[in-house]
Order: sequence, then structure tokens, then C-alpha cells
Amino acid sequence: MNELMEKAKALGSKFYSSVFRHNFDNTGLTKSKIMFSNVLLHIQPVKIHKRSIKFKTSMGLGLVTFYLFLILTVTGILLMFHYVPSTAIGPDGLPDAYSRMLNLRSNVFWGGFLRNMHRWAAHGMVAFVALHMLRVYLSGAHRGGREFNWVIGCILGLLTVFLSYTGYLLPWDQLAFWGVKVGTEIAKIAPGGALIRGILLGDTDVGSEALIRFYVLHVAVLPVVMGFLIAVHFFRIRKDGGLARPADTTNEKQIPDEEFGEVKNASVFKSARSYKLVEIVKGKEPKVNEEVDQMMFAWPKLIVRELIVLLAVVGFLSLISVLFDAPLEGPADPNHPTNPSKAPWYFLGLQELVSYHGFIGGIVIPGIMVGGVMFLPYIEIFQETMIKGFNKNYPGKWFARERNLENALFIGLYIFMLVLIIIGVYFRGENWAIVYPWEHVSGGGH
Amino acid sequence: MGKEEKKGSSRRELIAVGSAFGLMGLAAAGTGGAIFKFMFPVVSYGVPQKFLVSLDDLPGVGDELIFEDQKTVLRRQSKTEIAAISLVCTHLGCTVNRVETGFLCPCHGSQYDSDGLVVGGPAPKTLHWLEIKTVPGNQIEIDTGSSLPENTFFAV
Repeated sequence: MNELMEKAKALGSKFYSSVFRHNFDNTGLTKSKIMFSNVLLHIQPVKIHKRSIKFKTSMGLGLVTFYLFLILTVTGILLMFHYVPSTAIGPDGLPDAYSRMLNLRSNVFWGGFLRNMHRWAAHGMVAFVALHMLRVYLSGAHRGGREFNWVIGCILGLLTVFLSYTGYLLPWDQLAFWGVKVGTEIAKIAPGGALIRGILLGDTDVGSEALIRFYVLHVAVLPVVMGFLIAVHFFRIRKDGGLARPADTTNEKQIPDEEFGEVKNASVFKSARSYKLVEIVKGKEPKVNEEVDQMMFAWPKLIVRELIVLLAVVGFLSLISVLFDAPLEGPADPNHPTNPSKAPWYFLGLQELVSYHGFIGGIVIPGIMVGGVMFLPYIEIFQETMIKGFNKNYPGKWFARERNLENALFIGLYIFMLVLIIIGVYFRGENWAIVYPWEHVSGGGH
Repeated sequence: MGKEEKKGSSRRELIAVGSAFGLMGLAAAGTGGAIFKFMFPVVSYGVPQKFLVSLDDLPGVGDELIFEDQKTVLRRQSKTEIAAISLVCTHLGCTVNRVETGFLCPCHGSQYDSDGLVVGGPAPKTLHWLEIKTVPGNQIEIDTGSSLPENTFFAV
């Protein structure tokens, strides 16, 4: 009997070691193995700087954005099982796409909840992209070799907005139809915009062709491009040496020995602190003779923190989705615009600008803003190369005094857009007239 | 000699790499162009650009008739003169509403008088006046894709 138990144990451990290549003891070797022998965890470094996991460094904003993308992918795939991208009028007298919304909301188990979650997560993602950008800029983290990653981040931001926008049309209600209608008409103002618009809509106007094209873009093309660019974004963070942070100082507190785990063999070293070089990120030689090493194992502290953030995001989003229903108006009616017709909120700043002047507000100002923001780090590099003594390169330093002007301008840009959006959402009523926010207005802006 | 050899090999390399990337680039450009053309709409499934109205259905003198699907208002100026005005706002393409003073756009507040001339709001141009043709079978054909200056009347 004992023999049988032994054999069963041996078999079990063979199974285990064929899946996991490590144990769970408290040694530096194991902590490393856990990270690099797991396909999901190996995206992250084995060792990170101790300041990287401080809330102050990143505020977890990029992480939240990524989690929202994952949640959107999962909920989106689930919603696809019940959705039909068709404007054909069904037996209930409603367009198919719209009646599927009603079906989701009233019949499908969990349908309404998942739709709410998808919608609120999409809004949240746009907001968190903006916050993440603000964090990166104000802490100077777009510099110090990370300039190109800033550009990729900006493209990811644009993709996020475009994904939201293509998803906005799919319910085929009044909100969707007129929001998209106004948005594509803005595109028409741009030089060559009419051509882009034609390809996007597949017709001369928003209709059944536009729905199928937006659907394909929304569920296949854009998420794939986005997933790829996210991988590039993360890859470059690793290769650029982790999160931006100011240089270590010699009088900094040392990470306690316990952090590095025990040493199993009878080594003269008590801890695995000597376990230092895991990868060479930059430079020609391994780093040696450093007085204080501020790198700590990513397992378990980083991973635990990331899971806590994931739980918080899912929990908060679930709560919002239970409490608030995603907006759904009457079925799309191309002959009767809602009054007012508002684009989704992240476009309302643009719509507000457009209401003053089509070309300047719709193309010139947003073009300068998007292009300018995207190439901001290169503008700084250009100035640093051309002007002697000009230096704005302070990666990882929050509100660096030397960057006061840049930071003020960037915050100013955010306030400018925020004010326009608030005016668009709360202060515009029928016929786009100025109203007080407590007056009832229907017709978009969600 | 050795130097020259090196030069030669680097030139060969350049030709090899250059032609590989060049061919790939050509193929990519060709594919891209084809996809662009593939994506370009060739058939419109929406409301046709031109539509027919029977002469018997014309509004009375001084009256107007609104065609909702075609976003057009047909106006009878006198016994022999008719005109059609597009109801598509020249600002961002919303459908304008006919009101007593003229036309109002609900999207961004453009205001037009009853001839479609801009009197307020962000609209850059007068509402399009449309071309009307008399076609056989006692009918007129209105082209919603046309754009004529204001006060273009057609004889019936």
C-alpha cells in the first residue's frame, strides 16, 4: 500500500513538473523562474526597480487602460453571439441590429449587464487613455529614450477613440445614427476626407453598408491592430529600461535582504542578493560594483499589486453596470435628426469647435493638437539639438521645475478640451442653443 | 585587393537586400492599392440620388411638398415655375426642419431663410437648389446630387 502511495506521489510530481518548471519556495532562483517560465508573466521583467511599483510612479493608469481593453474584448466577444449587423426590418418592424439590442436588454440572461459593462468600459478606456497620457507627460516619462513609445501610445489612443466610435454605431438607435452621421460629416471637411468617408461608409450616406463596415472594423480589424500595437508598446517599455524614474542616489535605503529570498546551499551569502544580473538592457558591460542595488524581484509584489488593480477595475465596473443602464434611444430614423444631435462625449469638444467654424474647428485645430501632441518629444529633441543649454529631458521626474512651461501648456490643453466637452455635454440644448444643464435635453452626448 | 573584394561583397549585399525589399515593397504597394480599390463602394444601396414625381402630384401654387426620404422640398412658385431645395444642412449634413421663418438645423443651430440663405449659425453655404428635368410620362425628375444657386426655377 505504501509503495502504491509512493508511486502515485511520483506520478503526481511528474505531472506537476511537466506543466510547471519550478516549485514555490522562497529562493531568488524560484522567484526568477516563476516569472520567466510562464508565458503570461514573462512579458514582465524578473526584476524591477523598487520605485516602479510605487503608486506615485505610474498610478497604474496604463494598467487600468489595458485591463479595460481585456474586459472589452471578453464582453465584446460575448455580445457578438447575440448581435446581427443588419438594418433590414424584421417582423417586429424594427431594424435587426436595434431589435437585437432590445433582445439583449430584456430577454438574454446577463445580456443587459454585459452590454452595460461593454459600454461603460469603452467610455472608461477613453478617459483612462487621456489620464495615462497626462501622467506620462507630467512625469516626463515620454523622454529618456522613450520618445518613439510615446508616438505608439498616441496611435493607441487614436485607435481607442476610433474603436469607441465604430462601436457607437452598432446599436443602430437614434443616438448611434446621428452621432456617427455628424462625425463622418466632420471628416468630409478635411482634404481627401470625402474619399476616406466613402470608403468608411461604403455608400454616399450612413446606412446598411456603413453598419457592416463599422462592424468589421470594430470586431476584427481594429482590435487586432490594437493588440499588436499594445504588444509593441509593452515590449518597448521593457527594452527602454522599465518605467521612467529618476536616477538612484547613494544615500537611498537599501531593499531588505528578506526580499531576495533564502539561499538553499551552504553559501557564505545569507540572501540571494548577489543574484543580480538577469538581463542586459543597455550598454556594453554588465553593471557591477554598484553600491546599492534597488532592483527587486517582480514576484510576488508586482504581480499581487496588478491582480489587486484588476479586481478593483472589474469590481467597480460591475457596480457601475448594475446601477446604470447603457443609453438606448429609439431606432435610427435617417429622416428625423434628434434635436440636438450630439456626438459621443469624447467628440463633443470637437463638435463644439465645429459649431463655430467647420474647417478651422473640425480640421485645423484638432489636426494641430493631435499632430503636435504626438510629436511633442521630438519637438523637444529638436530644440535640445539646435539650442545650446536647452534641456527638457527629465525622465520620471514629476513636475520637473525645468519643464514648468511645457507642463503648464499641456495641462492647459487638457483644460481647454475639458471645458469644450462640458459645454457640449451640459450646456447645449435644442438647435445647439446655450441652455442650463438642469434643463432637460435628449439627443446624444453619451 | 582585399578592400575591393569587401566593396564588391557589400555591393552584392546591397543589391540582394535592396531587390528583396524592393520586390516586397512593390508587392505590398500593389496589394494595398488593390485593397483600397476593393474597399471603394461601387453600388449604393441607399436612397437613389434621383427620384421621380408625377406632374399630377405637384403642390398648388405657393405651396410646398416635403419628400422625407429624399430630403427635398418641392416648391411651386407660380403656375409654371417649380423649384426643389435640398434639406441637407450645408454645415454637417443633418436634415434641417422646415419652420415658419425658413429652415433650422437641430445639430449645430444653422438657420436659413425660406430660400435657403444662411441667416445664422455655422453653415457656410446656402442650401442646395436642385436640378429638375421634365421626363416622359408626365413626370419630373429631381436630382438630389445637384447643387444650383438659389432661385433657380424650372418650367413645367
